[in-house]
Amino acid sequence: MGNSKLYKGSLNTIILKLLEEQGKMYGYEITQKVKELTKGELKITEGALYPALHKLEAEGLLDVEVAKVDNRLRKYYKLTEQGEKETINRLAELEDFIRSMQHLVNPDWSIT
Amino acid sequence: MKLSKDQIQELYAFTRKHYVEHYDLQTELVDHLANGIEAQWEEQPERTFKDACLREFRKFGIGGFEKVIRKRQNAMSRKYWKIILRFYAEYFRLPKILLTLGLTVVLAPVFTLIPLAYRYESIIGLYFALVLGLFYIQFKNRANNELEMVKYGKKWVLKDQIYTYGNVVMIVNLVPITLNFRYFRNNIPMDHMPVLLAFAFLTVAICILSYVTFYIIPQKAEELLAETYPEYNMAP
Repeated sequence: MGNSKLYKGSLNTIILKLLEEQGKMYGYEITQKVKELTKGELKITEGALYPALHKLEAEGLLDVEVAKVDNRLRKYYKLTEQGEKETINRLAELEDFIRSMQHLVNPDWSIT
Repeated sequence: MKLSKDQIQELYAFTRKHYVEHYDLQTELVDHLANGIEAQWEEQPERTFKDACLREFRKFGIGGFEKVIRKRQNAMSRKYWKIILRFYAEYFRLPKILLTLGLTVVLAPVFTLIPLAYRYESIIGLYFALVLGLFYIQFKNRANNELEMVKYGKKWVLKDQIYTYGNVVMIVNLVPITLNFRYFRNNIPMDHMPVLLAFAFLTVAICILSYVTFYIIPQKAEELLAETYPEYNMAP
């Protein structure tokens, strides 16, 4: 895994972005999806994922749905209306952050 | 290969053994462990259920489920206070605001009927009496909640918050304790009308907070639980 500290602050944004793309997802699916997208570079630990999901849920950004799958109950998360707006804000913030970091580490580089 | 019903029940027992006492969190962790075990079986079908389960559990780190449990409590506590604020906001519409102000204005002169020498102590006494009353209701209802838990075999984080009343009684208890400090006793002029108005307002505010947490929210408990936990009414 890469430098986990660099990813840590962006965990909530990563979750929101994934849910925006996928509609609804469950915890295990999120860990696997992130692993797949980053080719194993970023592994979201279970101990960090669920607290993040529960926090976003308590903030009213996520809504939950439960379905019976394979003898067990599965809890799905999806964005609320407020969550959709917040995702746009947080992605914009993250992009600004990336742009500023790029300026700092490589002043000649720019993203359009 | 998929997990059987019995193995799912074993996973519930496993989470309970690792101090996850609330059904809502157990359910989520059981599904997580089950997915992990099934993924392992795809690669190594000969691996035993117990071994696969422990491997999955170890991914939660050295503290096991401890961090997830703690953070879940915090998140639910935040959600509970949001619910209280929502009810407060609903409560404080214009007629109720007028009622609250009216009660404050009526109560302040009532305090003047108490002889000045005993006024401060009487008000503190009033608050302590209120705290005792709230403690009594809390203990009585907590027992009912535990009985229900035994009957249905499930605990819910939010339900616990509702029937321990978000520890409002502890917060209310701080008021008379703080007022009992000698500094406040000696320096608050109990013959000034603005001071009495402030005490009257504080009394009314405490009564409304108690009314919302001890009466209104428990009345809506089932509705709030169903809204928070989609599995609440479908749990086997």
